[in-house]
Amino acid sequence: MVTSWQDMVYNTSLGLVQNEMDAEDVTQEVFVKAFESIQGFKGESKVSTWLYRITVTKSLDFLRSKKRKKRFGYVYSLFGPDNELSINPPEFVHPGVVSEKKQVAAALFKALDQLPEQQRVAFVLTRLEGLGHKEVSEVMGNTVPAVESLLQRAKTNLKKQLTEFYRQNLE
Amino acid sequence: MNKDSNMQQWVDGALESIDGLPRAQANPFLFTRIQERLRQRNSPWEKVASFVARPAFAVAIVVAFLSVNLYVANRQKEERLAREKQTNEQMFAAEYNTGSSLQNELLPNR
Repeated sequence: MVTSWQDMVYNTSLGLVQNEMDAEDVTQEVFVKAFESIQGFKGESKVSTWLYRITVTKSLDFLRSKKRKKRFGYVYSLFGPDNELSINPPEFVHPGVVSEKKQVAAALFKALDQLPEQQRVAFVLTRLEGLGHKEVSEVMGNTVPAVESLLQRAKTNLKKQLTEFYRQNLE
Repeated sequence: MNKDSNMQQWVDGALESIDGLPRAQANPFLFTRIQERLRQRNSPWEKVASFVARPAFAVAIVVAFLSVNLYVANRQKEERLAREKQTNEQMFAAEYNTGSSLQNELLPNR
């Protein structure tokens, strides 16, 4: 099971958490959760859809807990002079991006990081995993038109943020 | 106009930069690490540690500690008050010399 699905789970998680070590951690958590709850899997959906669901949930949980820790770290740093704040992690670039596109892809991932959760999930599943709208809707528990709307909004928001990014960096 | 069109090109280029991206490959030792994680989760010590690490457990310990403290403080206060009362009675008896008459009242046939 792990060998068959590990790249799918890792790639999805990597697109969402945007850090290779964190994505590996989430991938391990996904398979542990899958092993623990395999009895509850009734085969109503495909194994891949079930695993995508766990991956999305675990990745979003991870991001929320990271955000909480970051907020706590910020408050903590206000009281101690020796605590350095690591709010800005290094730029993330997906390992599959070819070298001449690394810079533009980094800008895209930075913009992707600013999107609301649901839009980000829909975008990652469609563009990084190549899923169709129907499968994305099954993973997210939404209707197909809802997924299309999420993708449309994601694209509009990404365009806005990228335009702003280029305006600031190229002027 | 030219600037806007360039900007549009950059934005479109960024959006297309992940088209046809190959899947990132997971660590080849992932399976071993998952096995290790599962082994750790099933060990009794790990279960105890995860139970103790729960916030509810910490709250329960604090509540129990405070309850014991309150109980002990309350009991000590009651004992102190009882001792004070007894001392006052003894002092009163000694001052008015009622100790012997009290004894006489208690033992009338003597």
